[in-house]
Amino acid sequence: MKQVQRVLARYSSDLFGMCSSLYELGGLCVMHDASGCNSTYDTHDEPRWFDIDSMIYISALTESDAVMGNDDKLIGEIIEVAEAERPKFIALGGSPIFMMMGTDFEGIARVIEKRTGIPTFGIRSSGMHSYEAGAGQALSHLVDAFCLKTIAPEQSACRAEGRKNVRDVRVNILGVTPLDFSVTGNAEGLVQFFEQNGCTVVSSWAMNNTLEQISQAGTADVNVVASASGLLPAEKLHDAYGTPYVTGLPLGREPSCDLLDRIYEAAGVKKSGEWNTDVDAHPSEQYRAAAEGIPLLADASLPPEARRTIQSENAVRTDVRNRPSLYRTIAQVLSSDPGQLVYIIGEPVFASSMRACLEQDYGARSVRIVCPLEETCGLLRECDLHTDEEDDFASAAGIADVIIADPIFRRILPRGKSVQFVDFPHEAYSGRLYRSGIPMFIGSRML
Amino acid sequence: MLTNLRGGQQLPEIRIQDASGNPLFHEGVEYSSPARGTWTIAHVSMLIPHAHQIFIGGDCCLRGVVLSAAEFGGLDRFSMVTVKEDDVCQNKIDEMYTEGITDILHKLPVLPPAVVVFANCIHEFMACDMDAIYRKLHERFPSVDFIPSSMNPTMRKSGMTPEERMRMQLYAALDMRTKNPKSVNVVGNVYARSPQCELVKWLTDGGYVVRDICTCSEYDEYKAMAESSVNIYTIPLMKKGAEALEQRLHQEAFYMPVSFSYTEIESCLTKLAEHFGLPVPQQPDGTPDFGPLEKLADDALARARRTAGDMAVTIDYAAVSRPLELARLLVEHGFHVVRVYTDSIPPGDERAFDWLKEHAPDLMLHSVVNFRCRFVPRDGTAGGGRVLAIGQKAAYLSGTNNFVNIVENGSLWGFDGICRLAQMIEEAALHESDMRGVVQIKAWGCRG
Repeated sequence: MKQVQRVLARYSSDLFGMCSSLYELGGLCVMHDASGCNSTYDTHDEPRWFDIDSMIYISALTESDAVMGNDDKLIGEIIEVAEAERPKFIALGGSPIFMMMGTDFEGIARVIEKRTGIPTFGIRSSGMHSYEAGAGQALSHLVDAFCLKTIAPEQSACRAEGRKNVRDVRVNILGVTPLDFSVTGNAEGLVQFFEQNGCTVVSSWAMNNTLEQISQAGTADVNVVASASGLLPAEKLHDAYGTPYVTGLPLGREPSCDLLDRIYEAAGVKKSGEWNTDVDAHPSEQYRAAAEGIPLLADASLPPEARRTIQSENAVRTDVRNRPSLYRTIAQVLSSDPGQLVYIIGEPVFASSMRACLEQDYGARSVRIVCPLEETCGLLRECDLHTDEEDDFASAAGIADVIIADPIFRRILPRGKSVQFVDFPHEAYSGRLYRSGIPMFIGSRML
Repeated sequence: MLTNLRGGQQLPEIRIQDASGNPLFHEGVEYSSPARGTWTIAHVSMLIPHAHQIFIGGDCCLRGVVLSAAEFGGLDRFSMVTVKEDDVCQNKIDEMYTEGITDILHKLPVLPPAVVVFANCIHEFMACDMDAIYRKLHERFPSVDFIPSSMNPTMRKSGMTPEERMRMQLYAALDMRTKNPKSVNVVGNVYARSPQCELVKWLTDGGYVVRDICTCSEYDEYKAMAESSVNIYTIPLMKKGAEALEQRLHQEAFYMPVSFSYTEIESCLTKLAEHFGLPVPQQPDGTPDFGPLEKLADDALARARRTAGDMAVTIDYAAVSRPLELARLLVEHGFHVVRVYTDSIPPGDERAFDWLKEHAPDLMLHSVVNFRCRFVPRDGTAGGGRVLAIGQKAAYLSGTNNFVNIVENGSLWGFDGICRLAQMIEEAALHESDMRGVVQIKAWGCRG
């Protein structure tokens, strides 16, 4: 039956995408929900929660608020917080109950903005869409609320005469959240990759960056869509400034060079010298503690069953962490037969970039993607699957020789069939569970 | 590089002398701390041996529970049906419920003896006919006990809360059986009471079988709880559940609260002895003699007090069900209690609240969910001294690594509980723990 998960998990939702993408920018984010969404988000989807302050709250509505549709209460409470904390902006999103009630978040946002003078936006969320929908909407709102107020369209890099014939390329990296990049060094790796190849990174939306840096986005020559969460802001920036965008991640050697070629071409700047795809980045100081993951302790005071469970879970984590280089594992598999059928399950920009790496660096001839998110970024081929159904995942696993996916997908492997499973933990799927095993995958170092 | 959001904010706390009303603080948008040791509905229902859980709801609701299950190794006992927007618009929820659960059960390698089904707010607002749904499921799977439950925090402040309902439903699969007068249940907890505590020890010494879902490893063992003639509950959260069992299975509901008041513990023990015909230590004049037990507790607390010295003590509501009573006990024994983290006066704590108002007027009551909690100083000090916290939330909000790692009363009860808590305080005063790592683990001690 459709929509049944017997053994698998679910991807993060739109509401959490909103919070994740705006987390570091000094805004106030309110999830309109009774309870539960807050703890789910900050436990499983937000590695920064313990170490980095952010104004993310829930409205804590009650039954009578829901029945009466008491928007005034929500508005009053948000204004109270805004007056106390003076956030740089306010963002609102709702959980399923508000989809059913037909809450007008955009209207509520207008009222709050008028009363507080603080830029406010509501996103269309229901907690029933995948995370990139919320993250993309939230990041797009920054264009109107901040970018266009800082850099007028006529001042954009694409229209500025002074930017012609320059040798560097100014880029924004769009769609960088811990849900796709975790806090294990990949966000930093992306910046390093572009900078060591002659690019100036104007802003990264939105890790290790401030709202002020993001406000300068109009000065970029090209936008890089680094995940599906970056597509909506890229389109918005294109509409606002005419800035072209390129979709892809630098994974492996050839695809990384190809990505740079496309960026330089989009910017109209001639390539100079060889590309350097060797990235050696580490988590920035603020993420370091979170990058270690959460210990599951085999505490002696626990009952024996609990100790056994935790010991076994820790063993899986250690296994994931100590696995040899991901690419080396894949290379070994493909070296015997490049025609083996590889399935990559995951976010479309990552998955298509990984496919490019397998094809171009390793000569793989049959790589397919299963995209479980709603947004595909137009990156799927006919052979690929666009589905979040457990039965479809199982069908793909039934014919695959190799699967690259989050470790939780191991649970759908067919019995009695030999499949090489390559663990690639994805925070948007397994949350913090395997974070310490998330590799630094940017660049060609893992080759 | 990041925006500094700290500085100058008003703290979300109030001197107990000035506190009035319940809840204690103005309610508004809420903060959620990273301290996660308390058990959620996804954890509590795992106490039913071999039961399978099925959650039905939207992605944002399902994600928290499925990853909770994944973290404690419980995914083999966990499934979901995802509700999408179209399903709501097309009013397909009832069908999804029956067909989704049926599909899951057909695909499980072994049919479980019980299935705990969690509906959420969508079902409530769509007015699903749950009786018809469960009738159909019973027809299809007659050997399975279906246990209706709910994941509906919208109702957390009206009528029976989801937590109360979950505790009640833990025992919903028990059927009427012939009663064994020498069998007693302790119900409603997520940790078994210690076999050494007076409650359990007196009963077992008196020849009673003491059953607890926390110690059941097989389903039959769980079902045998229906044979008990009395259900002892120790927390207010189980009151409605115990009353429901009294009505349904004719098991007497008997309240023996986890208390930190010598007077109340003695009153409970006297009641226990009278009700179950147990011997009570007596003085020469025939009155109960609790002196030796009191002395043990006094000595343990005195040792802990000497070890803790002038450390500032903080306590949270999630550590024990009566944090104010615990504060009173510690104040009476010379501890420097500075803060209790709670947003309300918990049931049973009213007398301690009044006592503290008079005898410790400067004690601070601090919110746990007010939005200002995000920015409180968490440097492990209070009034210039080091902090010793009792409870994970207190440890996090105080910022200390010297803490007693306890949630939901642990296995404490009675004088024995006080002695063991005093030992834990001593340990916490002497040794630092990895607060950052420990408090973020969900549902401390839950097994898959």
